[in-house]
Amino acid sequence: MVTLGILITCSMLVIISDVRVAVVGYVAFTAMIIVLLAHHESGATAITLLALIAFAKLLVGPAALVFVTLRYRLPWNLLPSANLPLRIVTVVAMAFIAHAIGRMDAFAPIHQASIVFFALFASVATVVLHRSLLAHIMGLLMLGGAITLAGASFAPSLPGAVELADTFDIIMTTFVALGVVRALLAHDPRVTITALRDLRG
Amino acid sequence: MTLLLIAAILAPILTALFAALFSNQSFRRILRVVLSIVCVALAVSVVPQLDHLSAIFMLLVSVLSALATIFSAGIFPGTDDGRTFVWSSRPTYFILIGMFWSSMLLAVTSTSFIGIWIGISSTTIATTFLVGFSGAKASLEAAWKYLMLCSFGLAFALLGLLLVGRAAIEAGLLPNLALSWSALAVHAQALNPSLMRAGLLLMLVGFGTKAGLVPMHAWLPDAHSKAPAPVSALLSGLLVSCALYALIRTQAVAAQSAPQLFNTTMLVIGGLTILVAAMLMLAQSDMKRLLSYSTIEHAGLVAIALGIATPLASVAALLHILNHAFVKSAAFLSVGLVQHEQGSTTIARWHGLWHARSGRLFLLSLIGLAGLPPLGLFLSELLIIFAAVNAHAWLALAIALTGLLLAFAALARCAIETESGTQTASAMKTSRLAMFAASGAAIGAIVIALLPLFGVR
Repeated sequence: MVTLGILITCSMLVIISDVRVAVVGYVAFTAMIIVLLAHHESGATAITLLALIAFAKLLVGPAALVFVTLRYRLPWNLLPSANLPLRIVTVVAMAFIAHAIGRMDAFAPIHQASIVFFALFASVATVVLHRSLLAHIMGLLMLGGAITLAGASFAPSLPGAVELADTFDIIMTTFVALGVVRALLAHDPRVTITALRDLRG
Repeated sequence: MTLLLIAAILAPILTALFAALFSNQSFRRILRVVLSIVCVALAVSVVPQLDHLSAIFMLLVSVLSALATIFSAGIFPGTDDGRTFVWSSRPTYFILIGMFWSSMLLAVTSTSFIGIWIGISSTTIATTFLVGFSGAKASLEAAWKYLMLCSFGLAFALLGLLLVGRAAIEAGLLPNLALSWSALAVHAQALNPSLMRAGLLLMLVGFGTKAGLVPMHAWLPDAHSKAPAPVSALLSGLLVSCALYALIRTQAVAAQSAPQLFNTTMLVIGGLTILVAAMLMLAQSDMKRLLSYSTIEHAGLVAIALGIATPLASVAALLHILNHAFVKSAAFLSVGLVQHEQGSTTIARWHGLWHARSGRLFLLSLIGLAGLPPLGLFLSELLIIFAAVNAHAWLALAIALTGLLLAFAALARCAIETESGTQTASAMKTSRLAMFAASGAAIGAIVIALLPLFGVR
């Protein structure tokens, strides 16, 4: 059930273009990962780490994104760079590729390997298929979620330091990215990738 | 980790914060210079606690970061007369430099891959702001590309670490040793080969992104060329070296579990990197961009040496990283001096640099980067060529030689164009402190070049 939920929310994040729906999708996606993670954890330290991760990923990241959108009156549109059918085809192709990778020798014994790779591909696709820099930040946040999921699936007995490090990195990166977005507002009020194509060669 | 080591790692960021407490700019400048030297002294004091490779990189990071800090404190004295660069008078700049420095120290002193990953990831946070510090559109574009590409690259490295960690735990290693590079290197042969292959390749992609290896290099020329000169020196001289350090540690594990796959991939990526970078060097009109592509070219050469994987090639790779770090730092710092005097980094606008001290220093660094004596890149490139001949890696040798020749042509053209002719008059006076720091990097390069002559191993 949770796997299906992750599949749907990841697909949604690649396909939709409204910031509000994307934030809701991201929160749902992350909440499901936290639920999965909670099944593996026991003991006070692990639960504390999980609470920290949940706080950072479910509250701090999305709240910062919404705050910046409201504060600087950014458009609520993630500006897709491909049309809807192409985005849907991309999601279907990603699902097939992730399924194929999950059946490879290295990953076959790993529980939920396919869904980890699907989440990873979805985070990359969210960046590639949208022009708004907010979508790119959303992609980064999704990537953090995918890595946390990978931590729970690939190496559940590794110390929680991996998840914590990743959470810290993603949250810091989100704030750094929002800082750059704020500085870019002076040059492009819509903060799109189209304004960032001067450096070439 | 001992208390002294923790103090040495945290000292750069803490001293930068401490210096920011004082409002008098002249005092702050002197304090920064003194505290940088204290940080180097602390780093030297912990060297006996580290293994040889970590010790070498700790010294490298400390000395060059201190020189970049002294240069930053010196070149722009803080009087805003319309042409001075105001960024270095802002404490935030030095706090970010301190954070960058501490992050690199963490990466090179950690005994676990997760520590290396955290250190290298943390550099992204500080350096994104440093690259975009001027607030100009091009700098922000460079900062954005850097942040996005490196974040994704490092996420792949972390995924690789998770796979390696799983293989280690499956083989019975204790969870807290599962990501220790020394434990992994010892037990690598007993680990699940499929998982190790996938994990090591993902780590190669991740750390390779930070090292600027093709095809993950797109961020590097933009970020290194749009950052302030001392930051460019740190990015090219140190950050790339730290990423290569991570690859050396990864290779030590790969040598026991998947040597053929890892080394072949290194050779392919290294060959591609050196060719692409050397060809693009010929097409550059901006000095800092040219030097950035030169960094990619040298990273490619190190990757080829690591791919050859003989003891001679490994020594050559390490020597090349050290030489390149000093020479490239000297090059970027001298470009900073010339930029301060000339107000531009466009090659076509630089003439008669030979007549100024900064221009002569710049020429020395160009000679070094071109692989000519007396600087050490001559020796390390020669050793890489010998290693390729000894290993019968003829294709790698041909690619390396082609790349080196193309890079030499690009640098020679640049040297002739910029050093000859009459110098444009400059109203700007070069700071002695900045000149000292840039010269320090060049002297360091000469000292490293001379070490093998005195039998230092």
